[in-house]
Amino acid sequence: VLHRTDSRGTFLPWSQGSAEPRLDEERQTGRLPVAVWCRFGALPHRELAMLDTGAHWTLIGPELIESLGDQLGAELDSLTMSTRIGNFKGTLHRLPIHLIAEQGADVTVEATCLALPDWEGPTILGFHGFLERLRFALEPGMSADTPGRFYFGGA
Amino acid sequence: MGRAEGLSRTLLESAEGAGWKSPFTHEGKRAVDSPLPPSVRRWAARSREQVTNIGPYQHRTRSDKARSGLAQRVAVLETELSQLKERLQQAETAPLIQLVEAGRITEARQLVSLLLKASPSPRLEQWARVLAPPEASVAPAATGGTLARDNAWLRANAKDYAGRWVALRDGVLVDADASRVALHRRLEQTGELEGIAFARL
Repeated sequence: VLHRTDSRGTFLPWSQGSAEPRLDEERQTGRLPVAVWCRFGALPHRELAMLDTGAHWTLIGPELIESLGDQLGAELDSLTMSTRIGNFKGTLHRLPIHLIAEQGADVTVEATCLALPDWEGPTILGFHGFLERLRFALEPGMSADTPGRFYFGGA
Repeated sequence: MGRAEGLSRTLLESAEGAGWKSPFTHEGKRAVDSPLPPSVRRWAARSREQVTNIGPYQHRTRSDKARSGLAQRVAVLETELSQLKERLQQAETAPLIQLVEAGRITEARQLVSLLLKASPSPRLEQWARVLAPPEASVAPAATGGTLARDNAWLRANAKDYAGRWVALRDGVLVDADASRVALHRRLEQTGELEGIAFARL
């Protein structure tokens, strides 16, 4: 188990939770190199979302926008975001996102996500407003017997 | 005796003093058919007009009109003020939007902080809130005890459901649909949404 030390030299666990990620999965919208299970807001169900350190924001599409409804709160000014599948208009919202752990504990991130009503790609967990305050690591899955592992904790 | 009636009587008495004979008695009955002299009629008409114009009814009508006009003007000014505020806020947030769209989030955070200090507004506060760095907290426990079973189902069956949304629970397929919204509503109606894992294949 990885540990880290704080400014006083105290040993602390490096991560608080871990779960098996979905790796290199084929989807109609393209391949998902790394996907993890999470819950958005107060929704009672979980989703697979693509982990993407190269994405500026966490992106949610029309289905999740409809499920979340009023939980997204008031809309701010509309933004145009350039993505690999084109430009999309959307609005930024503050929303808790829960990373689901199989071992340890879930981690909740008071995050910012970009709601794109016309987005056709997968739900994406991006850097700004989400990953930038997480400590995370990925253990690659070498075979069916040794699946990958996604470790995460609050930074 | 009312004010107008008093003035009329004074006018009448003044005219009679000037040698004019009233065609009416003081009780209001017509005494003679002779008309008023033109100068007296003009004077009386002017006086009557003045009395009417300062009467309580006329005064109230003018005041209501003035008040209504003022209210309309205030409404117009309020609309203009609201439009100006909107334009000002748009001008304030335009550079923020440009920075965010360009992915320069650190600069956007610095700018919103400066703008808030200079001229705080609910809109800028909302911008500051969405641009704030995220905050992570640890939950009391892990809730993904059944993830391994869901993952196993996906490994075994994903190809058969390509292009569809699936709803899993404990590694068992509960429902599937091409539309996530339709699937969500169906599960909600049957009370099966709790604990479901959605995946688009």
